[in-house]
Amino acid sequence: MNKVVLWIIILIVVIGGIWLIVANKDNVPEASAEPIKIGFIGPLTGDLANIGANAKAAVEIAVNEVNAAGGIDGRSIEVVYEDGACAGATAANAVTKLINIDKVPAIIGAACSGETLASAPIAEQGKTVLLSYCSTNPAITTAGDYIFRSVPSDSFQGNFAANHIFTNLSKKKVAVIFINNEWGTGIKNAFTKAYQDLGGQVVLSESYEPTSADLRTQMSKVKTSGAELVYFAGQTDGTITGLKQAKELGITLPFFGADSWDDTKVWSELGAIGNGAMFTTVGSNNTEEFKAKMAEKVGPDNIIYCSNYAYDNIHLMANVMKEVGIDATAIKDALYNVNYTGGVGVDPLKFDANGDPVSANYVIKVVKDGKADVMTQ
Amino acid sequence: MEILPQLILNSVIAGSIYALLALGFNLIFGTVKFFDLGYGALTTVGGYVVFWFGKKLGLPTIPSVIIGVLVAGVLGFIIYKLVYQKLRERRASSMILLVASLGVLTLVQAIIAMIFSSQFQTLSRSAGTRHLFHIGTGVITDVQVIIFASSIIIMVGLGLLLKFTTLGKAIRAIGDDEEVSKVVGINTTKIIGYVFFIGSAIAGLAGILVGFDTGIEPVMGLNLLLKGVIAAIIGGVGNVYGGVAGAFLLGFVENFGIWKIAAEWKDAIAFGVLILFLLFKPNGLFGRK
Amino acid sequence: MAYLVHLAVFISTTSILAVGLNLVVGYTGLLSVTHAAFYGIGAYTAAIFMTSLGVNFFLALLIAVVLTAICALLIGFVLSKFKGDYFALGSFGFNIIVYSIFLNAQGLTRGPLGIPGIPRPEIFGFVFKSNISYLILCVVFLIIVYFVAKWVVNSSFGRVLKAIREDEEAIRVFGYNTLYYKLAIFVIAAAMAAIAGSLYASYITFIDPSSFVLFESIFMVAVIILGGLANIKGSMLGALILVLLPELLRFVGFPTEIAAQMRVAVYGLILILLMMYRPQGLIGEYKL
Repeated sequence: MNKVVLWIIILIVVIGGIWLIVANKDNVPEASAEPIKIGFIGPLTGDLANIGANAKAAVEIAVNEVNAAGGIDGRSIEVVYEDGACAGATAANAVTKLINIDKVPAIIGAACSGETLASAPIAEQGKTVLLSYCSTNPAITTAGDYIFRSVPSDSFQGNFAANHIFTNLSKKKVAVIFINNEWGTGIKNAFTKAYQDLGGQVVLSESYEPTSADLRTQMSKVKTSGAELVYFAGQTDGTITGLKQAKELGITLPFFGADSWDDTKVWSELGAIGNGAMFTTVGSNNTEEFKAKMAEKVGPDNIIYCSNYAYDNIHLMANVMKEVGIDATAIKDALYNVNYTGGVGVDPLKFDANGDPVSANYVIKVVKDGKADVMTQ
Repeated sequence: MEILPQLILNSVIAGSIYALLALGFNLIFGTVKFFDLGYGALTTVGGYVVFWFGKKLGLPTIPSVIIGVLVAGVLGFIIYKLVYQKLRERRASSMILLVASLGVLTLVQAIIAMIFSSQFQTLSRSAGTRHLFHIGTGVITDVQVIIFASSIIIMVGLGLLLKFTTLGKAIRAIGDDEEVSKVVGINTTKIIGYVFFIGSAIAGLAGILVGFDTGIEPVMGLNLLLKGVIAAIIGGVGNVYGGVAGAFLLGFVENFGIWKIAAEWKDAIAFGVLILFLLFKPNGLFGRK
Repeated sequence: MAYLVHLAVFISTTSILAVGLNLVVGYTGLLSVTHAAFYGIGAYTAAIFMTSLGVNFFLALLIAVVLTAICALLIGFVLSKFKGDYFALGSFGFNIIVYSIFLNAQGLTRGPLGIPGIPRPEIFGFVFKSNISYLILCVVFLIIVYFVAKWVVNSSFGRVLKAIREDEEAIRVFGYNTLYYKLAIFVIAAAMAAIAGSLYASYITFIDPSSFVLFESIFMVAVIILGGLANIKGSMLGALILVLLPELLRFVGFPTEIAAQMRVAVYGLILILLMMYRPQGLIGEYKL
């Protein structure tokens, strides 16, 4: 290929790219009928893509509901979806684009703590509200003034579970299995510390990779560990295979999980194997309506646990915007004073001075015949 | 040591899966002498085809599996025709082929994710109704027995094919010296096409079996592939039986290794073994040359 | 425009990575698919020293470079025993092992929780807080790396490298200790990767293992193949295009999930097409 032709092509690509970006920059919404843009970041590719896609579906449902009810003073809301790929760099690019090009006042995101932590300084500097629906890393508490999350930090859940297992269930020896990502590691740390502080003994602590849904060896170790109960901080895929393999190996110990188990797909897949499994959850108040709409979009029994928080975030944001408009700083101030009820996630939802939800009420659910219900004590 | 029988069984199961992968991979590498990374994507293809026909369309298991294996084989063949054959005709170096195959793997995985979403899926429809076999204090399910049996059957079948059939001899001839094979009148292009078909079909089968045992997701291909490659190298790249031996060795080292060391280091152990072999025994246990 | 400045920072760090990798792959002919490991070692070292020990960025960067160089020496020594495709496979292995360490050595790296709160560089009281100032910092380092690479390539050292690429046996017959040369360039490239890693860590202020997976190494190889092997400007060109491309795809208007996977599919397609129709890349001088 002729060198000149080559350089011309390169120049076209680069200039074309810059033009595309700059052309979109002037999309400042004018008053009245222009839709209000809100940003969304989640892992739409990569290992956790099903979490991102599911949350996106929930957000779409919420957006439709808000717009059907008249939007915000007659203006509909429009969400700009960006992929964070559960990676800091990609999320940083996404949030920069949302702030500078789409000029959103608020972003619902992100899912992975890595995405949120990388996005936070950019959002903070750009004075844009970042409202996470799934990030549980404790570091996010101090990530910034404009940084909020509607999902509680892991430390609560770990504490609550440790207490219940040690005191109420009287299990003094526990085997811990956890998924080796920031959610699992965070909960494992919180639980282990709380449980050991109470005097319990963690006889085994094994992780499994998010990409490997084969827990045979871990479960084999559990069998000979002498544990009285298994604290299983697993997400959907690992839980399904883990419990199946545990049953195949003949393990009869009780299993105790965390809020990721509040996922209808897990128990419908497992059927009778799941009987007796327990888990903590922030009473997800999934209404029948929400479940039906999600079933339409992503198939039945397929609500992954952070999607209800994402759904709530949209409604919450819409409510706040109706009150104070679309200036990011005003939204931020309003969020600190909000008291959101009737959501399908945390109910009521209030934020403390750090932007974390004020300590949530946890309940214990027990699984029977493919369904999980709150345990009556 | 009550865990010992279970550990052994776990090693055998893992080894069987790696063996299937190594068999197909070795077949291809032994013939065309480059590392086809796209091979990994075909495991995913096999799994998802069965998912589509079995779970979505409701076809009974056996026909779905057969379709899955065939589709994987055909796709492997098509990829060969479209990409690798042209490159080989131009005498591209094995590194170019390696990079191209990397592109294939990435592309196919992304396409599957686009069509099927990145969700993890299981292939088996009935939860909890597995038949269990007890061996000592260890347990193995019916699917896992099938996996083990398949690896042995395919190994024997492939061995017989290579040794006694005309096709097999032609394949071995090409593997020994492609130029000379052409000279003596072997239609190398056609035979290599068969090789890709068979190898890819085996990959598809491996993916399907893994899907029944645990589950499938679009990114499963690379990890399975790498384990298969390690097994093949340990056993001696290009050697069909060697790959199987290497596979079981790998399965044992991994599972016994993480008995003592925490499970999160499983991949590191596997690759550590790879590097040790590359260093001290690059031709593997039973290498050619 | 803030978005472009942000992208420019990434283009600069990716260019630094690409230039270094090209020295190993393009000039010396060693297909190394483990560059992300050195990127990561550099990033983690800098991050740990800056957060836990309060060390100044520039000093942390220096330490990162030294530490990464030592690791490269060890890894390179083992890898140097392999040839051709085996080298590539062995490098895969190292990337995965190093990644495993990032993920599991939680006492050191905090594993998947990552290291947050990495401060921006500070020198004589001036903090590189604004993105423009950071971009200038990155460009300065890029220029340094560029000239180092150019000097290496045009020196007699560089000529030996190319000779190794063409025919290692032959040049060894002439009495050259090829092992020394291969190790040296491997270490130099890793040192450059460490610079990029430190810059990345301080810019994003948070790192976790997910940025250093095997796929990132594959991405870097795609960058230099696209731009052109054995051409320093080519590496920067490749970096420019492959960083810009996924961002452009955001604007094209595919439905979002498809768009995200589309980026990945495009990488794969680019690799295939390049290999089939233009293995020397856009302005490269060497085909694999």
